[in-house]
Order: sequence, then structure tokens, then C-alpha cells
Amino acid sequence: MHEAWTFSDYLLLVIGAILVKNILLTRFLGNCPFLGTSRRMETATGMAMAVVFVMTLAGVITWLVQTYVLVPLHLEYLQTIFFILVIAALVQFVEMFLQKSFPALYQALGIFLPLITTNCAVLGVAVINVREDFSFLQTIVFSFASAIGYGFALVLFTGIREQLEASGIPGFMKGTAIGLLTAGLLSLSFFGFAGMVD
Amino acid sequence: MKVLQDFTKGLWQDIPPFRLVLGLCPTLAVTTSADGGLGMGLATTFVLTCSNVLVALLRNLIPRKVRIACYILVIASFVVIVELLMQAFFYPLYMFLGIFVPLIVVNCIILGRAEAFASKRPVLNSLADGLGHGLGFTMALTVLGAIREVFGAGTIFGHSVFGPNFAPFAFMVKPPGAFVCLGLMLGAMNIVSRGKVD
Amino acid sequence: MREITRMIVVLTAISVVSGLVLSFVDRYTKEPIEYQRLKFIKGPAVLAVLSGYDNDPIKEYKKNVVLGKKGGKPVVKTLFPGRKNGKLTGVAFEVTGQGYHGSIGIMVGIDLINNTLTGMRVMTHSETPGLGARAVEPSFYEQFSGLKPDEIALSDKGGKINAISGATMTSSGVVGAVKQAMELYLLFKDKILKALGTG
Repeated sequence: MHEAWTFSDYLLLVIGAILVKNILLTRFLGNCPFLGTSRRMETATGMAMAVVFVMTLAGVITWLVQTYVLVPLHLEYLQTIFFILVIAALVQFVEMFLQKSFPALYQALGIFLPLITTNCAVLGVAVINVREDFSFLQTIVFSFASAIGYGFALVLFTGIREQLEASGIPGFMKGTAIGLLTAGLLSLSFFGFAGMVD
Repeated sequence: MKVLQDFTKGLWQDIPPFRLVLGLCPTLAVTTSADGGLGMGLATTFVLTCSNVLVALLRNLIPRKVRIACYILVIASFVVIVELLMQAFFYPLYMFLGIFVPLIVVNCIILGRAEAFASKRPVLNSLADGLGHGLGFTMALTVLGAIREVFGAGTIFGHSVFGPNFAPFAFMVKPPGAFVCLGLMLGAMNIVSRGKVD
Repeated sequence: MREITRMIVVLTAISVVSGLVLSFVDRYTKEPIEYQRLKFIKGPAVLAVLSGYDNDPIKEYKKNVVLGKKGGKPVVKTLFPGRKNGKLTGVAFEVTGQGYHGSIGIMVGIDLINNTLTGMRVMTHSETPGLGARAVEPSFYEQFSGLKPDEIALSDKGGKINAISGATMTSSGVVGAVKQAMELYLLFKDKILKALGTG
């Protein structure tokens, strides 16, 4: 990794995470809830907000666990267990906190909050932070940018899907099938950004 | 026999990721080759079967309120075992699957079967259920991987199919191709199922 | 209260059993994993920098051999032996160079009979693509094959290596590290031979 990152290095990291190597459309993380929550704009925006919140926090906390617990104790092989437990606990706390302090937001997010625990994008980003050997600051930036990228792709996709549902689609392609094709086309358009980084 | 039924339903009726629309992330990401699909499928089958068995064994001991946490602990432990064994004996596969090995822990199929089935049924049935869904998933991944590999790289399991003059349809092995291929396969399966039902 | 106790007991029990089983699996797989990592990550470089061998340098590796002291600090290297017909002919080990963007991991191969370089490969680096990163290209690394100790320097300093145009820091970083590898080898040759066994 570069010894000291300049501002443009960070900018490239952000653009990379949102557009070029979009966490969902290019890295394939977070697809299950993606197809499930992208039928209506309200649910999509709710999920997007929840993901941004949890993914950024989870990325930071798991980095701290890796650096100050797993490595010093030579327990790196237990990374998967520790990380997923951190994420599950984090989601639990966030739920309780929102329920008490921001009930309106809690209601808006509904069942999507607990669902984030199994969102592979969250665990995925946490693992990527460690594998890429990011510093603390790089972890914060990457986690946040990835989450924005996820939300962005999700909202964009939902918009397209809502339009599609209104038009006529053959019965056997309805639902998830056409959703996947649409995602493919969206992923293709994001591919156009590939020349920007690296 | 009920046990046999529990096994076979995972192979077609309930086959992940097509009928049981879960576990999409690894499906899209690792099916650039038939080997990758097969490897991921078998690793997932191992974790799914073992966790189903253990959850079924402990189903009367686990308190309802912490059941999800317990399932996650159990599943994560088996994932770590798979991670270590794969690194020790199948390193090239481990390098290929990358972050998707630890991500098996959030494969919704596994948590889904633990909650929906293994927590309520005897050990033998749960074993059959896990094995069936796992092998069904493996078949799906291998077939998808084979299709993408044949058209995208001209090989199958690493062996050349069309000879040296084949111009590969590289789209197939890139992210957009994954979405499109899966979507079309799902549509095709829908046609076949409708035909059977009507 | 009983409910909470039960929850804690069950969770702790599962954690403890899991911990025990996993630490056992970890211990059992530690060595195979290390060998696999060597084989697939460093392996190709090791095999590329050695020449004229018919053994498996990776399988016969000697881990963390203490060669001696240089500049007050102990020199410890993992050695990969190359043998032909059972006789030791070459050795490969890793050195680290300083590049423009950070450290550069380099595998060096040395002919034990002629005391010359058999090869050099850059394994890890963070150099600029198109410039310093070109250190991984044959046009750069092939220059190192067969060099005698005093030939390991940049051409403008009397040696035989042409620097990568536009990447002088990277080039001199690599050359410096390879030269250091050769110096270490000459300094500790008898220790190396002893550790690997001349047979």
C-alpha cells in the first residue's frame, strides 16, 4: 500500500468504490436483499439508508477488532466468527437505539434493519478492508463510499424496475428473472466507468 | 419415506438459487468457471449439512430469544473449518473464491434452512434437507459456471472445447454477463415449471 | 432470571466448544497452509530464479535460518535449495528493497558453485504502473541472470543493469536489494551450506 495517501488517492478510492467497482453490480455483494427490496422506492431508500449507517460503522469496528484483538492474539483464523458476531451485535444495538430515540426512522426501516446482518455486502466490505491492508482512515472512507455506491445502485435499479413492472413482460420472465436482466444491463452501464481508475 | 422427500426437494422443486431465491451473491461471482461453481457449491453443502445437523441436535436446548445468534455461531464455526481445510488442501480454489469463502456464513440459504427446518425437525431429516439443498445449489452453480465458461472462455473445467480459433464471448465472464445469464436461466426454469404444473 | 441464565449458558457453551474445535483444526492445518502459501505465492518466483535443479526447492525449504549478525542485527532467512543429482547447486531467498512507493519484495537465486546470480524476480511492490512496476517485466529482470557480484549495479555506476526509464528510484532500489542479497550470501556462505547440507 502507498506510504502516504494524497487527497487524489482518496478521491480515486471513493470513485472506485461507487462507480467502477460498485459493491453490488461489479463485486456482487448484497444481491439477495437487493432483488427483494427493489420493487418499491420507499423500501429501497429505507434499505439504502440503513446500509450506509451499518456498513460504515461495521467497517470501522471490525477493523478495530482485527487490529487490536485478532492480530495481537494470533487469532486471525477466527476472523469470520468475530466479524459476523460484531455485525449481528451492531445491528441489534442500532435497532434498540433507533427504537428508543428515533422511532419514526425505526418504523420506516421496518424489517430491513435485522436483514442487514445477512447482507453479504456488510461482511464483504469488512473483510476487504482487512485484505487490502487499509489504514483506519482508508477503512472509514472505503466503507462509507461502498455503502453510498450500494444505495446508489439500489435506488437507480428500483427506479428502472418500477417502470418495467408497469409495462408488459412475458409471464415466465416476471419477477426475479427480469430483475436480474435489468441488473445486468445496469452493471454493463457502470462498466463504462472502468477506464476512470487504474 | 419422508427423509428421502426432504432430500430430493432441494434438488429441483426447491432448488437454490432458482426456486429458493437465496444465495445469489456467490452464484453471480464465482460462476466464471465450472470448477469455481463446483468448489463453492461443495463448500457450501458441507457447511449447510453440518450446521443443519448440529442445529437439529440442539434444537430443544437453544432458547428462542437467542436462537439466531446461536445459529450464526454454529454456521460461522463450520465456515472457519472450511476456510482452514480449503487453505490447507485446496489452495488454488481458495485463491479463486477469495472473499466469498468467509461470506458463506451469510449465505441466506444456510441460515434460512436452519431457521425454517432444522430448528423444528429431527436430525436425519435435517441432514437430508441440508444435503439436498446443498447438492441442488452445487448443480446449479456448476451448470451456470459451465455455461459461462464455455461461451466466455471456450473451455470447460479448464479444458478447451472449441479449439484455438474460438473467439470467446467475454461478456459472459464479466459481471453483466453473470446477471443476464442467471436471469435467462431463471426464466427458462420458470417455463419448464409452468409446463409441468399445467 | 432463569431465562437469561439459560441463554448465557447455552451461548457460552457453544462458544467454548467451537473455540476448542477450531483451535484444534487451526493447529492441525498450520503447516499444510504454510506450505501451500509458499508454493502458490512465493513458489513460482523461487522456481523461476533457480536454474539447473531437479529437486523440489519449496518442499525442501529451511525456515528462518539464522545466518549471523550484520550491522548489529541478526540476519534470518528462509532458504530454498536447488539440487542436481542430489548435490546442492543453488539457493534462493527473499530480500526487501526500497522503492518509490514503499517496499519491494524480491526473490533472489544464486549459483553456489560460481557465486553468480541465477535470477531475480520482483514478487510484491506498490510501484507506479508503466514506470516502476515494469520491474516485473522480463526486459528488466533478465538483466540479472548470470551476473558476478561486482556487476550488480546500475550501468551508470559501472554495473550491468540498465535502469527502467523514468523509474530510477525503483531501479536502484531493486539493484541495491539484490546487491545486498549477494553480499549476505558471500558473508554467510558457509552457514548457508551448513543449513542446507551440501549433499
